Amino acid sequence: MILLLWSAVQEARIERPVQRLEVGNPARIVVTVVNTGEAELPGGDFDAGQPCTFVGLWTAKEPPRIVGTFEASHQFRTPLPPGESRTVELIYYPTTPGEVLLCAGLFRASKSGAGNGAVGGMDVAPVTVEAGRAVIAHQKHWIRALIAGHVLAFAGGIALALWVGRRP
Amino acid sequence: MIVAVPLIVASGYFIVRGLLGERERLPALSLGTALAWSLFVVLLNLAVRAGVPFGAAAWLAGGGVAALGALGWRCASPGTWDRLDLGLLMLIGAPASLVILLYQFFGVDADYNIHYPLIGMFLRGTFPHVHPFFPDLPMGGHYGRDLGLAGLLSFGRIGIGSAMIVEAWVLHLSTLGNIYFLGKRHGGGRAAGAVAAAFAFFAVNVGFSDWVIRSGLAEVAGNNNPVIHAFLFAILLLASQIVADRRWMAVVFLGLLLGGFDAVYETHFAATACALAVLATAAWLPPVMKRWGRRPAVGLTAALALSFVVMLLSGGLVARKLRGADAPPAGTDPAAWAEAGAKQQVGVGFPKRPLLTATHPFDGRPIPVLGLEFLGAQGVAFWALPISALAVLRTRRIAGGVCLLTAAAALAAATCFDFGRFNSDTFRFLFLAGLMAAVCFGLVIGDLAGRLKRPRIAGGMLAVLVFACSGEFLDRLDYLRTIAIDHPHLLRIFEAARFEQWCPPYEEVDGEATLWLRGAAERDDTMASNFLAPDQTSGNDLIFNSAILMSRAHLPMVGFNLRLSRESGGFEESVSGWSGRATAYWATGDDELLRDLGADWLYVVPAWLPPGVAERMAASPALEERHRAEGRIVYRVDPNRLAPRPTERSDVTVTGFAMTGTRDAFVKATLTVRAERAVQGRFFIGYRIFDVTVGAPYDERDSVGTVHALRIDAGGEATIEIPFVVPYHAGEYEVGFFSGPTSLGTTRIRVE
Repeated sequence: MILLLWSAVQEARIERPVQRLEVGNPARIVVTVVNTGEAELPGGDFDAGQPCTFVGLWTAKEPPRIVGTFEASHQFRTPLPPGESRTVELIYYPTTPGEVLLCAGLFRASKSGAGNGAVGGMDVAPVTVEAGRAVIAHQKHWIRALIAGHVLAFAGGIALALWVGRRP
Repeated sequence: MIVAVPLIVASGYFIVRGLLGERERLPALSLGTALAWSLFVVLLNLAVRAGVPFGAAAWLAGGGVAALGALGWRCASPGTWDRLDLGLLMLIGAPASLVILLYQFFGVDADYNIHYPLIGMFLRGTFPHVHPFFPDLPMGGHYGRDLGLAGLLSFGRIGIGSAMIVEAWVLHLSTLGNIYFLGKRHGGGRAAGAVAAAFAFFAVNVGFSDWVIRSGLAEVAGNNNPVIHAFLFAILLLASQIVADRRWMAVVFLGLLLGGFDAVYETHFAATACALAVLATAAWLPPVMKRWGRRPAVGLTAALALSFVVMLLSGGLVARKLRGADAPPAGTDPAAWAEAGAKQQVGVGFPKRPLLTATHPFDGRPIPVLGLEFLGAQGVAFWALPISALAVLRTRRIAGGVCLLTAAAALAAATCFDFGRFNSDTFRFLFLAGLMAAVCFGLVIGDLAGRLKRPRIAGGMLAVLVFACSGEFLDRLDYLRTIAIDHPHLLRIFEAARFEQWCPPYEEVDGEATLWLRGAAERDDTMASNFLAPDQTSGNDLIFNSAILMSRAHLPMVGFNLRLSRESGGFEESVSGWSGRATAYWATGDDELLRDLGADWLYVVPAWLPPGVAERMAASPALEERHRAEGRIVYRVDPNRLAPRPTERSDVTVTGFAMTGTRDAFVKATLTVRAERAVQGRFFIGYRIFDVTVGAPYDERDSVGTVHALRIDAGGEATIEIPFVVPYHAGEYEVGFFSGPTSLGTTRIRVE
């Protein structure tokens, strides 16, 4: 219930204009978090077990309805009292050229798992990622080639073991 | 590095082929890689311990390994390939290799903030190693991996992080092969080797359900782990060869590797040395000698004797313990406690209270190892350890024997011995015990399956068993799929990309400026920096940023706070932020504070300094601008050009103290000082903070002081402004003011 109340009032806003985005070049995305609720947004030492709020950044092709997997995040080290705002910078690495929705949202998390979940709404900024300096080196097909190579090696191992193993 | 690694691999291959008499190429390749890499680390360590300069020592060690390889090449007989071995290793190795590489390319290397600077400092020739964040503190503890990697990097540099990728991949796959051949040769055949290797890499499953469960070696490939496990399984293979094959060269190599292992990783060394000592003792027992003959007993004892000599020379755990250098301070003085933590001085007591408990790495609470909370989190192999032990005793296979002894030693160390503040670090022992239990289980199951009449059905059953026990590993695959496919990040192969990931403010200009500093600095120089962007507020940001600069410039950095909580143990926790002096200096640019900072170089980002400070620094006679790039300035500090500190004592008493501004780390404070007699002149006035909560100085080595011009009539008062640095931690503090040896008074503050 508390989480739902929070959901109604907290917000993370991507500051516009977003800087020019190029594949392979890290970009600083400025996100302002405003605590318009009556409870503070928790912050502290996550590793020490304290509940924390994370500001997350992710990309989507279609307008998201839930918080996605963060591609960059910032942890609140101190709580954000009601009525106050905080500006954080997140480093985003564009990897694919084209139109994309840049999304920012808040997530409450603690090691115990109690109360974990998305907090508040999310902000979506349509951006264009341009081809950059490292398109070839950092495209998905390199990762796919890496995985495909290992799958081939795995299959080759099975084939070799079966082929050699069946001979007397 | 790119040339050195193939040379190491080739040398190792020929050492095993020629000097250990191995006919098959694949086991020669896997054992040879681990053996030669480990020999390089051991020889390099012995050479630098003997006083040979680092560069020459690297050439000596590399030359020694290459010479052994050349000798092996001369002695090697024609080799053979076993294609079934190749097929099985490709089958097990492909998923392991993929996970190792994806973690290396996408993940953050644990503890890189200490390893990167250490490797950089080794490359500069700093030895013995000191704490990168506290250069006046010699570090105890393991360093072999960092030294070895620095040695290989000295033959031609790629980035430190890029070299770690090569190290992790090469050595971990070599370890996979070593486990396989340990099982195949000495543990019951191919099936035993294959299942043992598969369990070791994918189905260890040891940990704490509310902390982390480690699925196996495939995901434990960062940090020291590739080198540790290369040493470990090369040692176990050599010990097995001494028993089974009676190779005398194996005695020499085992002695060297075991002796040098204690400078690489104390926990694994201790467990392995205990296991081999028990094995050597058992080899002298009449029933065992009747079965094995006399040579294994003599060989193992000789190897242990040689390893003891190497231990004494290597400066690792045994040498430190014998010198008494590793003893933690007596009593409970928190300042000494903090320093001992940074120096990694580990005390060992017996018995642990309560006995037979594992210490939770997160909150330090004891958990009974025979209770459900602990056992419920462990995998099948751990549960099956008693059955595996019975099977090993029944089959009397040497591979199962050495693994079982190592598992028992590691488990006993974690649950029966008290390591004081470092008890929370004993998960290393638990993982080792779990790993050895997994190898044992794999050997036993594989041995059993190998005896079945229908090998295909047996093979299928084994595959299903391994798959069924690899749930945690499959979870990791899902995580990797997410970061690699759904949200692809950069493939972080090259150093700049790795630094960008860990240190957001790092830019190309930092790479150039730190490289310039690397070339300009002397060997024992130190640096200080304000490399902390305004939006970076945590201690970790400071640690990571500083570590990147240190590892690029190959210099240690000064100006950090040293305070350890009793519970934390690990030295990484010691840096809470800048020291008082550093905080005050970066806030004011006051030359008086610069003198006390003790840095030879300043790496400055002017844009991140408060208004006016950059100009004040530029005007300082003690700072010479030696390099300027886009938004970065490197200053050389000349302490001789700082005005000498006045020595006259200020005959005043502090009667008032008021902080101005918010209670961030740096504030200004107004002191009211009263003089009984007339006072005129320039006086040094400083303060030191005492932590009332823990009963010790807040930072033993830190006080903050500046020079003030005073003119007060007899009985009069004056106010002065001092740079005041509020402690990072909540608590109650006593601020003691002083001028030289004279106390000027105290006041109390509370930090919420």
